[in-house]
Amino acid sequence: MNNAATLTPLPTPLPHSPLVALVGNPNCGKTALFNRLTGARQKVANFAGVTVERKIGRYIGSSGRIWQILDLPGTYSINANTPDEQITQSVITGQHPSEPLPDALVCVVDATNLRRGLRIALELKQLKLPMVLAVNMMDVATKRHIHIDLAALSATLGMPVVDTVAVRAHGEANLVAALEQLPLAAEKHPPAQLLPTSVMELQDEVNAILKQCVVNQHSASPWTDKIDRVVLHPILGTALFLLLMFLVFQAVFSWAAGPMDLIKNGMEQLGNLVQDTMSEGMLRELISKGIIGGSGAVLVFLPQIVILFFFILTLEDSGYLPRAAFLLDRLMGSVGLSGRAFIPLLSSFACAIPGIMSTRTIQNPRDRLTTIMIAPLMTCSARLPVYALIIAAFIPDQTVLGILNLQGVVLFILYMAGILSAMAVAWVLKPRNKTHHALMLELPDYRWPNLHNLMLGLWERIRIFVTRVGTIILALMVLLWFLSSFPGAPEHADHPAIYYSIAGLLGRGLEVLFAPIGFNWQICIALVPGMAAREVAVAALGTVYALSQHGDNLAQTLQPLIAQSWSLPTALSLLAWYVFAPQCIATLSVVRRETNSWRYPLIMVSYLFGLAYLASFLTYRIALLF
Amino acid sequence: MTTKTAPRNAVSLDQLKVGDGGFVGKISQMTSAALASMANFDPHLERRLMEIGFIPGEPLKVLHKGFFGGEPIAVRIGHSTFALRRFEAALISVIPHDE
Repeated sequence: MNNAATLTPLPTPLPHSPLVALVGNPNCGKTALFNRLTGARQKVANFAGVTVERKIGRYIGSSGRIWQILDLPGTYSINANTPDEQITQSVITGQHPSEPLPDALVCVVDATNLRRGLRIALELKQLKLPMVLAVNMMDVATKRHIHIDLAALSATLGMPVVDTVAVRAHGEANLVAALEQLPLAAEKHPPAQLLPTSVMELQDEVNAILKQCVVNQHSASPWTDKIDRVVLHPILGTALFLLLMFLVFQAVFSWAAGPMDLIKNGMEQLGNLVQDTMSEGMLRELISKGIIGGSGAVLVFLPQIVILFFFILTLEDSGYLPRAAFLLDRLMGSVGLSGRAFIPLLSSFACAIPGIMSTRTIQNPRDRLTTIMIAPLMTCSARLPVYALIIAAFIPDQTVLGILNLQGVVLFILYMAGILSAMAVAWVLKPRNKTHHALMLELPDYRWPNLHNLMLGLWERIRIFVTRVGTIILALMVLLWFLSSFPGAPEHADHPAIYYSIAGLLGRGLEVLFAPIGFNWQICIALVPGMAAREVAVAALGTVYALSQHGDNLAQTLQPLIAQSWSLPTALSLLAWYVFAPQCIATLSVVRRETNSWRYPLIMVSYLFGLAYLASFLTYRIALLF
Repeated sequence: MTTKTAPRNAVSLDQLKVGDGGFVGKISQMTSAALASMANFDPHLERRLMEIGFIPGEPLKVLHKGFFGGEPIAVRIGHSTFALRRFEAALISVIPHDE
C-alpha cells in the first residue's frame, strides 16, 4: 500500500455542480428541508419578470460534489394556473427563458398527507427526469403510528424514496445519500411531454398506492382539532387573537427598550471617539454627525424589528397565522380584502418592505394590489422616532381616565388612524361590481416552531435592514450634510448657517407650499431627506437645528427646542402628516418591483401625499381654533 | 337540489352545519347567471378546488364556521383542512353520511 491509496480517490466523472429543484405542496416542510440542505448559503431573489420568490442555495456532498438546490414555490399541482405553478411548470420542463433545466428533481411530500402529495409526484414522474421522493415530516407520521413502507412505495413509483425530518439536525442525510446515487446524465435530455391529467384519475391511482404501502394513513393530528376548538371559536378565538396582538405590541415596545439603549449609547460613544481622536475639520463633522449620528438614529430600531419578526415568524411556523386570517376574513372581506392580507399588513407594522413582499401569498391579483397600496398606512417602526419626538415635546405626561397614559393614548390614536384609513382606502378601491374572490386558505396542522428556521428567517430580516441602513440611509445622510453645509453663511449673518445653504434654500422654497398646514422651513428641509426613510427626518431636524449631539441623543436635546419654537397646531399637523407620509423611497421601489410598473408607485405617492396634506391641513386649522 | 350525476340527497357544502360530514359528490359548473354577476370570476376555480383535494369520493367534514354570516367555512378534506368562502363551498356538492 503506498501513500496515494490512503487519499480519497477523485470522484469520477469530474464533479460538476448539478442543479436540483425541490417541488412539493405548500406546508410540506419543503422550505425547512431547503434550509437544512443549504444553511445560510442561500440567495433569495425573484424569478425574472415575475414576483415569485426564487431561492437557490448550495450543498457540498460527501464526494465533494457541489449541488445547487433550487426551491421552487409550493404548489398543489403543476398545471400552470397560478403564477407559482407557471414558474414551477416552466422550470421543470426546461421552458423557462432564464432558468436552466434541473439535472434532477426532488419531490417533497408530507408523510402525514401523502394523499395529496403523491398526486404531484405522479405528475412529475411523467417528465422522466432523475427524481427522488422525499417523504418529509416522518417524525410526525411515526408519532401518529402511520406506517409507510418506503421500499414498496419506491417499487410502485419506480423511483428512490427516502424519509426525511427537515426540522431535525441531519434529518436530510437520507436525501443527500439518495442524490449521490442518482444516475445523472452527462448531457441533459429534454424532459418528456407533460400530458394534461385528470385530478380524479390521479387521486384514484394515489389511493390505490396508499392502500398497498401505508398502514393507518387516516390518523390525524391529535391536538390540532382540540386547539382549533378554542382558536377558531368565534368568541374565545377572537379574544385570544386580540390578547396575542396586545402581547406582541407590548413586547415590541417594552423588550426592545434595553437593546435600544445599548445601540444608542454605543453609537454615541463611537461618535465621541471620533470627535476626540480626529483633528477638527469638515471630515470629522461628516463622520461623527453625518455618518455615525445618521445611521445610529436608524439602527436603534433594529431591536423592535427583530422582536416583531420573531413573533411573526413563530406564529407563522406554528400554523397560527392562517387561523388569524380565518378569523379576520369576514371583517377584511367587508372592505374587499382577503383574510390573507392580514399577514402582510401585520409585517408592515415593522416595515412595509417585507410586508409588501409577503403579499405574494395572495393569489387574486386585485386583492394583492389593494393590500400593497394600503400597506404603507400601517404605522411602520420608522415612524416611531418621529412620533416619539413630537409626543414627548408636546403631549403632557399625565394620566387620563385613571389608568391611561396620555402620551400612550396619543400613540394608540396614531396607530388606529393608520389602520382605519387603510380600511377606508381599501373600501374605496373595492370593485363596485359584485365579485367573489376565492379564499382557499389551508389551515395546516399545528407544530412546534423550529429554532433553526426561525434563526435563518430573523437573520434574513436583519440583513435586509442593516444593508438598508448601510446604503440608502447612509448615502442620504452624507448628501444632506453636504447640502446643509454648503454654501456657508455670509459674514454678519442673522440666521444660522444652514439658512443660507442649498438645503435652506430648498426648505424656504417648500415653505410656500407647506405654510398652510403649519410647517416652517426647518420642517420642510427635514421632509426632503425624510423621503428616503422617514426616521431620517428626526436626524435631519437635528442637523437643521444645528445641534452638536449625536445619534439618538439628538431626539432628547431637540425635544425642548422644538417645544419652544413650534406651536401645538404645527406639532399635531406634523403628527397627522406622518400617519400618511408617502416618504419612503425604498418602499416605492419595492412596489415598483412587485408590480412591475411605475404606475402603482406613482398612484401610491399621489394618494398618500394628498391624504397627508389633507389630514395635516384639517388638523392644523381645527387646532388653531382652540 | 338534484342533478343527474349526484344522488338525490346531495346538498351543497355551504348548507352543511358544523360537525356534518360526507363525501364530495361533484364540483358544479358555475351557472351562467352566477358567472354574469362576477366579472372577475376565476375560470380555474373548479380545477383549483379539485387540486386542493375536493375530488369526488373524498371524505369531508365541516369543522368550523366564521361568526358573522357563517363565513369562512373550515373543512376537513382528505388529510387537509381548508377555509373556504361561502360561494366556493356552494360549488361543492356533498353526499351526506347515511346516519
